[in-house]
Amino acid sequence: MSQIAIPAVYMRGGTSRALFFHQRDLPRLATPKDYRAWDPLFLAALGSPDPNGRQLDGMGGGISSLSKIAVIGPSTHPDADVDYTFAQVAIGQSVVGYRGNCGNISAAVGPFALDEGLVKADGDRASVRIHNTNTGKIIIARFPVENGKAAVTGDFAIQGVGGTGAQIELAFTDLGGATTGKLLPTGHVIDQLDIPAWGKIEVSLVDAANPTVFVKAKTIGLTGIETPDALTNDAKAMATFEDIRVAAALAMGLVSDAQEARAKLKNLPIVGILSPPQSMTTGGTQVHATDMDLTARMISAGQPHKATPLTAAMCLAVASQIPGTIANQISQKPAGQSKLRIGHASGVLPVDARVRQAKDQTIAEEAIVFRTARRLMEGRVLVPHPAHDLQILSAAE
Amino acid sequence: MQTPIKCVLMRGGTSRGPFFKDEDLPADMETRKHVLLRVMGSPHVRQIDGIGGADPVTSKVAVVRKSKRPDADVDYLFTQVWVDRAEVDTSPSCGNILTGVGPFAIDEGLVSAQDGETRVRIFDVNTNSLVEAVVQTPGGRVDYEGDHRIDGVNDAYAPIRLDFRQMVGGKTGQLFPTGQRAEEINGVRVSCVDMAMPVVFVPARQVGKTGHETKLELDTDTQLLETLEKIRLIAGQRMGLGDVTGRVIPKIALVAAPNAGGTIASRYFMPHAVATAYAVTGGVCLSTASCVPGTVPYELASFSQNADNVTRVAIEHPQGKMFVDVRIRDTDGSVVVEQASLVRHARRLMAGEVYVPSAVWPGPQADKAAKKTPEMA
Repeated sequence: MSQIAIPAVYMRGGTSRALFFHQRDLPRLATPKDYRAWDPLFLAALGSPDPNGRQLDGMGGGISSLSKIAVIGPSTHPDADVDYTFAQVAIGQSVVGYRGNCGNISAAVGPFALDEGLVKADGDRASVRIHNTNTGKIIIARFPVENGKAAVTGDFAIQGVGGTGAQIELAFTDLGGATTGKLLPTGHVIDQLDIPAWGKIEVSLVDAANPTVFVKAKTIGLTGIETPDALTNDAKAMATFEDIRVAAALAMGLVSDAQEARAKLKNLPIVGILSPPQSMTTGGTQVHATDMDLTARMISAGQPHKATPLTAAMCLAVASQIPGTIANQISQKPAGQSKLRIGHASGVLPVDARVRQAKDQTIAEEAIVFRTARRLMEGRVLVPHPAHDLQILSAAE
Repeated sequence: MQTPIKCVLMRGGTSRGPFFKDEDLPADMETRKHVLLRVMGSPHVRQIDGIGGADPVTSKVAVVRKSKRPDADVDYLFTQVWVDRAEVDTSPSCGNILTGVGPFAIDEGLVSAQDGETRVRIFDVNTNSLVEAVVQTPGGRVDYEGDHRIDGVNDAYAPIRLDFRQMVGGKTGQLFPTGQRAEEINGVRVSCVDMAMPVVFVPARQVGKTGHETKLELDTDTQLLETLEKIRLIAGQRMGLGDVTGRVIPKIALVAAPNAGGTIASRYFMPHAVATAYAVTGGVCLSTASCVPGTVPYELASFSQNADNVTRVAIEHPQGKMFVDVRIRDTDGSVVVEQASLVRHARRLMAGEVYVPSAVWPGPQADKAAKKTPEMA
């Protein structure tokens, strides 16, 4: 028996890699979001499950950021050009996950759509409206075009990828009140929280992309440039972060009592510890205060983050544009510069945001992150015969 | 702008990498090196901006072309691409990637297939020696699917038989380059053998080991590693390889009596860390040596079957067993290897074009233009 061949493009998006498929080349789903007909193909294409953890018999790289799939099809949303479904393929088990999107792989969707002729670009820039089916959200990708294709070369560098490439702007829309329904869930730019070890402290409670509570580092006795490991080993600081998270969850209306916040809602809100620009050394590299507009340490799901969750970075960029918030007070962003340069635990991440004032409320229109992507290989991926079932045969006919 | 290059990503045995036809890569070797680094995404710990798998076994490249030699169908040049350094190494060969060469040559039309099985004669450029591959080709097309299993790969595939009998003395010219089947180095009785790969075989017991240890137990035993390196350096001199300090050949291996029903147990050093399983070339060397009376492996081996004078040697390694079929003729003190073959399998994973930024290589048109310039002048 010969293997079956499916057209595919292998792409890097940000600091991840994925195999991209056209939805038309995959078996038709029995009902929307019932992905069982796709799972065996994705597992076989990437080489999972591999008990030795290397995905040797497929295209995967044995780690989660190298074990991803993107499926691109015609849009099912009136405000989008294409549908994009993200799949995370487990390495040691026969499991494919469709919960949540991957911000890095999202960066490669626009270039794929243009290069494959799914959308057209006039002039030297493209704008592709992407409907992410995993989250139901719209992401707008804007990037330079060269000879009708997505430009690859450029002078933009991102952390975790060597060299530079063409900058891709990824605008995440419909951010405000992601969880609570309101950008400022309490209606205030500053709130007071009662924290056992510190008494009443000032925070900003903001809900964009993900609910986040911002506090000044010095308010809770920190410098703001502690390493994630140092914070993890600081029992007092860790207890303070948890107390702030629980009090903030209650104030934002995410839970009805503190017990629920501690026992059930373990991951939100994210806690952002902010301080002015500070020079620091990370991974042997010196980062200068002049390269950033503020310093941040993010606590996500009880763990000091090694860099920053993208959602919390977007929330911070939005908050920095709302007059009076802690982020706005601390940011030293020069007038006229719209990008907020966030100095996090492993470098600097620029994030842009568009915030609009309407009557008595503030609206976050979009937050923009900046990535690069590259088409690595194209052709046909081959899948052993036992991996596909009758459904696939009928789809191919 | 990017340059597309025809490429097939294949798994061969327990290794993986892109396969190229020689004509599709830049003719200039320095440019070629940069192209291969860029293809794989090196240097970078995760090879994120390329198609490498961020592990030495998934950072390998095969380049294949029609052979001009009368005794070979195709030439195979193996390249190891460093993951986190901007370096490539063509000094060793890779017997696993070699498994993919036969099917690649047939799929790409370099060799015409027969109905049933197709024999592909491969000239291994790295070791300057010949290997024969037998590929399953029912109806004249490569069949990848089958029932053959190898340790280290989850699923079963069609068998590919590789015969290394002509790989005697690939690096030194002789099966026993020191002229002896066994000799003493630093008080330890060892055998220095050159068959597909030059290897020094050391009885585990004589260096305080059982030969059944895990990879981790041996990799962390710095005293053992020092002892072995001292033996390897002297063996390198005696085998005519010169000062092998900092070089990856010869390899060195611990050997011991089997304890899991095999012929011999062994732990193979690459040469300073133990192989997860066993190298194909090293396995061919050990199996051949195990069949030659007077060698250290022969004295430890336990043979259970011997049909048609072919011995199936089962090497017990950290992940299971590797099987090699050996037939030798030992007359008047001279050994002729008549067969040294093993059965592996391979899979074509993705076929198409791999991209590199045009700044690295603008493509074959530019090569042709560059060639024309001196002729016109």
